[in-house]
Amino acid sequence: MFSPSPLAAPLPASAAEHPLRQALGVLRQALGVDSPLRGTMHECRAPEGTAAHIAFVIALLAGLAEGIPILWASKTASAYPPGLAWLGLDPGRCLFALAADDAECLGTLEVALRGGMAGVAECGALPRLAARRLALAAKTGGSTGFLLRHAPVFTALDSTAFATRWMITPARSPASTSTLGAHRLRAELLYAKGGRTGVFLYEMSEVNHGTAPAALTLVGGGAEAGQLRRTG
Amino acid sequence: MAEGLKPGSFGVPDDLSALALWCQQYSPLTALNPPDGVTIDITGCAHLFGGEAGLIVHLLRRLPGARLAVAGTAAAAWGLARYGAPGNEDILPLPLAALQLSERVITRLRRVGVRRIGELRRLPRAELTAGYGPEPVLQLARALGQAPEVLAFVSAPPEWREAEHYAEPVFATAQLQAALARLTAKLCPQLGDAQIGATALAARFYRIDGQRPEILLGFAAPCRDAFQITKLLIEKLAQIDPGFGIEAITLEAITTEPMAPVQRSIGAPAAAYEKPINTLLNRLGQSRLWRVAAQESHIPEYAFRRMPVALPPVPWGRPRAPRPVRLLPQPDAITAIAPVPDDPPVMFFWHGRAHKIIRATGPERIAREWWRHKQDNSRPETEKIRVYYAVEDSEGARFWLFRAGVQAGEAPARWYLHGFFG
Repeated sequence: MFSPSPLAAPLPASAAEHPLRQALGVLRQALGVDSPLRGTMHECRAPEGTAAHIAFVIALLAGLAEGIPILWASKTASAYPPGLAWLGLDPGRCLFALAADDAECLGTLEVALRGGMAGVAECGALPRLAARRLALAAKTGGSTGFLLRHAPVFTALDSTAFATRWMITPARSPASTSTLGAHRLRAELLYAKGGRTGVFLYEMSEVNHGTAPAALTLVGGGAEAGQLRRTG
Repeated sequence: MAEGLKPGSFGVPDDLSALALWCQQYSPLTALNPPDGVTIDITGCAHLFGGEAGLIVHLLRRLPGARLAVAGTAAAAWGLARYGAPGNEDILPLPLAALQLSERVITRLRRVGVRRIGELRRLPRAELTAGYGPEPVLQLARALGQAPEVLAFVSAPPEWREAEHYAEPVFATAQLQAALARLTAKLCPQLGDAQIGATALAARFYRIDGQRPEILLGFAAPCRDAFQITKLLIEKLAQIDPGFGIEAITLEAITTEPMAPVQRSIGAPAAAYEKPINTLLNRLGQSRLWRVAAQESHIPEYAFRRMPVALPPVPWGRPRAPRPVRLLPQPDAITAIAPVPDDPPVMFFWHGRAHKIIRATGPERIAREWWRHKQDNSRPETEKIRVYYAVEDSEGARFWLFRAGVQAGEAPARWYLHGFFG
């Protein structure tokens, strides 16, 4: 059967019309919760000086079906393999590519997506044409792709070619002790094709003492979305 | 026939079958004589090297110390090379062992006073067969050319090469692209028939000024997909300068690996990822596309090693302690304020920004691998320890910091930012 997906985690009881279901309908399908992989591209942004988007994407990829190789393309070798292993994504499944510039980075991702591999690319700028090409490649190959960027919430070149666009920022953990508690991420869905936007608070929790991939559990959002919503 | 004993010289293949193939430069027909000999059928070939004597000189120059003999039959050459004097072509004075007779027959013949081939030849054949079996008569007849010999000639491994020659030199990119497509379309079905795939390919362009630029392709998994190979070759055609014109193009599969034929399925095709990986490997090159394998080291930078994409993936275990998702290539020096000698900092400054630390986990002490370093007595070994803390700042961002050295050491303690958890 399908491996447990991070997004298959149980939602709160009043979740029948939970915005996550609507907003993430596309993403849920893409990640193979109830259907095989569908060809979609997703963009995850994070503020400069954090790596919240990498952690978010690793947790999503760890739930992908086994056996699909994952390409990490970037201009500097940055994803740290033991860190992937810590979050439950087997680095043995990953191929790492070092690109000379943004264009080569996006081209590398495009080849991988077209060939059916899952892919992650870190780049600076994303031209609209490149976004269209990547979305088409993912659709053709029936694969899932993620684009990681350090970018603000709105840019002049925002494209609607991708299935979803997220802004991932770190969030304070709830622990009252002085040691680190559960790792929380604030995920703002900036755009979803055919879905509603919203703000969600996820907690990365260990499953089975770390033997299973880290699960992204929804701990906030929906009702609190109004409070969490970014102003300005 | 020429017979050579295995030499121990350098520059010449050591393995006997490789030596037999090497000897095919003298004649297309060479055979193995295990354990130490090679037979060459030089019929019609010797004049190319200045006759039999010239051929012997040619061979001896390349195989110093080898024993060589030329004779009319392979059996005679075998005996002469092992028991004859150099330059002698008469087998009659040779001992019986030169006929490749079994030890038992030789002993029995010696008992009746037959020691040399000449003496054996004088004996009546019918009685010889009745007394000693068919072997001596047959071997003698073979050496004298009166009975047929069976030689198992080695054949060279096939060369997976296709070539096109042009009466008029070609320059145009379109012509070269079409030529590469034709060559690939000729080569790939041959590979398919042999059930192999290429793992390295070379397209060579012979220019009329004698230059020979080439395009090299490497594959992670064997490939014989004509469409993909053509596409990759055409992508790299821009590197080739046709100069004053190209008069020939060859396409050669340099290394091949077995590749089972693929059944075309009616349903959804099974996922195969060799295609994108092969394409990326040729675009980026070996040095810029890699897999990772875990490496037994506590030093974060050495906790993994790169390995070629062609090798099968190695599964990983979970690290013993939390590891960040991004590691800086070089630890970044930061200014940190830590109250007590062994406590995590309460605040640090990085890139001109202050991060107030709310929570921290640690310390994780990682000593350097002293056996990898030269002895250095400037500081005690206890000061060469990194003390790692996973910290969370007031906004929730998680960092991996470490302190190098101890608070009251000979060198002051330094703080570094090494990675991000999120």
